[in-house]
Amino acid sequence: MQNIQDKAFDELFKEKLGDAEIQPSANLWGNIAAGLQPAAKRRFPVYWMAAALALIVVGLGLLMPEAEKVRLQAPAQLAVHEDVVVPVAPVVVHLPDAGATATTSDKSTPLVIAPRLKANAENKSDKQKMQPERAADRLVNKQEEIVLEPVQLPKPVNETMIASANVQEDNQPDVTVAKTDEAAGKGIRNVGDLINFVVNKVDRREKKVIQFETDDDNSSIVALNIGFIKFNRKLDK
Amino acid sequence: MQEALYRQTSARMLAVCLRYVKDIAEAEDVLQTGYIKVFQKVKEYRGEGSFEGWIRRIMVNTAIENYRKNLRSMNVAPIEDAAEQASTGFDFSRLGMQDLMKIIQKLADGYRLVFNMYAIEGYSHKEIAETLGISEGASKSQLSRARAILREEIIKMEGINYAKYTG
Repeated sequence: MQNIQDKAFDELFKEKLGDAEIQPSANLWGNIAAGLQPAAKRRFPVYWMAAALALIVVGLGLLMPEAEKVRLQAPAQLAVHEDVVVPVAPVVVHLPDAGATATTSDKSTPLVIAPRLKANAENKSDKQKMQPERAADRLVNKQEEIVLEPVQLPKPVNETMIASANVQEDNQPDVTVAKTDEAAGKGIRNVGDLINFVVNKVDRREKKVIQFETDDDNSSIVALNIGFIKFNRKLDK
Repeated sequence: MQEALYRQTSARMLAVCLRYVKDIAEAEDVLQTGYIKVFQKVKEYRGEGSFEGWIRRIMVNTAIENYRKNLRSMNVAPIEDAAEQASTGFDFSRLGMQDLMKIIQKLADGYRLVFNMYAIEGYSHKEIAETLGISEGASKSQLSRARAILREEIIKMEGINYAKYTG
């Protein structure tokens, strides 16, 4: 019997138990080997998921500035619809109308309006009366120079040509820009499209990691399959 | 390769696990989880210290995780007046490994963990406090309480052994 200090007490336990051996039951290795199998299989997709997510993040970063362009596109297209009408109407046809419209417009509003009216009026004859008011506002506001021109009425042909030419020059660039944007946009129009594109390249399964439903303005998530998070709006429908 | 490593080390590792839990079944659960971790993380072993020491550390960590999982059901160690028997001496030579293992397993979970980590694994109180999420003071007081309880148990056991010997 002897007094044992704390340290020595601990040491004795360490001595007796530190290197102790107890044989585990025979089937334990089988359980461990079984436990290792699914883990090994799981590893591969996890890396692919990580890669896909990384690509998505990079894609988002790259596309942020372009996403703003997409917004600008919407008003541009609205404007185009009005403009598109203009090229359809042949400029030549105006010549006889020019005189008539000029006289009618003279009564109500400044003389200037007449030449510009033709371009719009040609398409729908019904609207002739309505249009002078709108057209008057535009012309007076935008081009005061033209106000001087009414004095030169004797030369209606030239003015109409000039007017229509101006209109076309103003509008044409918009039209072309809008068209090219639209053409390129059908591939990837916004962030959702880009993510779908990247994910489709990387993830060949039926249920993708992430999928968006996109239209011109918006994109919304329709499917999400990351680990235990599973969400498939598309498949539910 | 994996199986060879397991065969070579599993007996010692099971003894490590057993020190941290209540019974052999729980120890084997911890051992199984621990080896799966070992084989999954084997690439992370950087050759610092012995390989077996690295495996042992994983086993201890797995046992601590196991303890945390069971924390909810864990009963707070009863606060009894610690009979100050610290100065009572005893003869270790008659106590075998299995006796000591039984005594350690009788400890409440908190005491058992702290005593194992400090006395046998060689953790500092700071490390223990961080690992278990307790204060250093709590680690120290649990350790001295654990020692006191162990001493009591050893004396009881010695008495029984002595009775057997003389009887």
